[in-house]
Amino acid sequence: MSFYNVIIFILFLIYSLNVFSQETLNNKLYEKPYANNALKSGKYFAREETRNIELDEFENPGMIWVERGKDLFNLQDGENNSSCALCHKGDTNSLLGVAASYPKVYKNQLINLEQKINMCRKNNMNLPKYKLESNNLLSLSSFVSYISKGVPMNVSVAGKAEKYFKKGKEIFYQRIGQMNLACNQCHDEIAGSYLRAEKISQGHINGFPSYLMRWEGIASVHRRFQFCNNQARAQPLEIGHNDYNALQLYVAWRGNGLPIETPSVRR
Amino acid sequence: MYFKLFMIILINFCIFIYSASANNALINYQIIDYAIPLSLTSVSGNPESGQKIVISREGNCLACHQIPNIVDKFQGNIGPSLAGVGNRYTMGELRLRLVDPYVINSKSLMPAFYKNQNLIRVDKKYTGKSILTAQQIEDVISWLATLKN
Ligand code: HEC
Ligand code: HEC
Repeated sequence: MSFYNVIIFILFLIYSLNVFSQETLNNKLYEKPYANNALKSGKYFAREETRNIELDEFENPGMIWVERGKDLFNLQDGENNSSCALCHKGDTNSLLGVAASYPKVYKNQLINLEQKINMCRKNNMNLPKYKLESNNLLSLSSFVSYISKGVPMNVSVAGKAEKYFKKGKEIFYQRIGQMNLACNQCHDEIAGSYLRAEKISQGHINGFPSYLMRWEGIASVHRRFQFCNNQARAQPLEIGHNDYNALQLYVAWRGNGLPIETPSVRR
Repeated sequence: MYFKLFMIILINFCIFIYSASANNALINYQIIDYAIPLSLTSVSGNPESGQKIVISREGNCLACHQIPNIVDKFQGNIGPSLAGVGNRYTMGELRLRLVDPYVINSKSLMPAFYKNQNLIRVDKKYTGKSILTAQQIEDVISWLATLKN
């Protein structure tokens, strides 16, 4: 065997090892904590009384936000006298299923549904953005999600979304706060156990915006993340933070396939 | 001129002293055979205050543990029941399980109650502080030691 043969053989070996390890890494990257048939929406972990309130649309207090969102959707406003409904042709059909694909990359930036709604207001309607977590914004996102009720969550983590997905996964597994707890420790490892009076769910977000009885109001996914950060005595991030969006993408992907159930009701 | 300089140095010194005291330095302890045999303080633990800490938000032990000796409807079941821990463990073993459970199980969900470093993104209210003080740890384990059945 000549010297060159040996060199080429070694280079090839390094190359194939590289490809191999890349592949196993990727397999790991897309490993899901719950197989599709083991996915369980949060309502199955909620108390029966709470679940019954959610399932009865007349009793579900989150429906107030959906109704208000519907009014805002049709409201003609600003100099251009424009409304969401004018562009989105009525309501139900044109936005059917859209909520299931958020967060999503838009012009190299990962945005969630609330941020998308604000972009529509600013760029297409020439109206000021709503404050994040404001009643109006959450009413609209509740309505837009409600339109897709029953549609399976289906966020994409390929292409430009991949780097956000990786970031979100990293955050999900990072131990934080004085309690030194990571999301996966509660929502992957011990779902179904009780933390004090609370049965821990798999931590899915197919029911958001979600009505929380303790706040007597509707909350975005980011507000829920803040609350879970508080439980670990970790410094919460601001609502709308890029890292929360990345986390939201990862959490949504974990639950891809679960039907949208907005507005869910929790304690 | 010199007065101003002096004042600046003085103020800086005060801030330094203050921040050093706010980061309540923890007492050094020794781990031998998966236990911390020596008390963290010179005052021996008070079981009555220990019980109060266990029940209250300070210890918040019921978030994760069932303790049959305590009457409370809402007890978590993330960790093992604490019934009879006083039989299962020595004081030194109980001390380590509160001070730094990661020594026994690095993936433990049980927080280290006497640790204030190498933690990430700690809420500002709690930075530099351990969940419990050395005396509170002694109080809690003196109560745990009474759980025999
Ligand atoms: C100390 C345990 C604990 C940790 C750590 C924790 N959570 Fe939670 N989480 C809970 C509890 C308890 C609830 C309320 C019961 C439920 O719905 O799961 C909850 C609820 C949720 C929900 C709402 C589920 C629903 O159906 O409404 C989401 C989403 C969630 N958590 C995500 C996260 C994320 C992301 C992290 C990390 C940043 C995290 N959690 C960290 C305990 C925890
Ligand atoms: C966030 C959850 C959590 C909290 C809060 C918590 N523990 Fe634990 N604890 C655990 C888990 C989980 C274990 C099981 C061992 C392990 O995983 O390391 C454990 C184990 C123990 C053990 C060993 C029990 C055995 O049979 O081996 C003792 C003793 C204990 N905990 C006492 C306490 C006390 C006292 C407090 C409050 C001051 C407390 N724990 C708070 C989760 C918790």
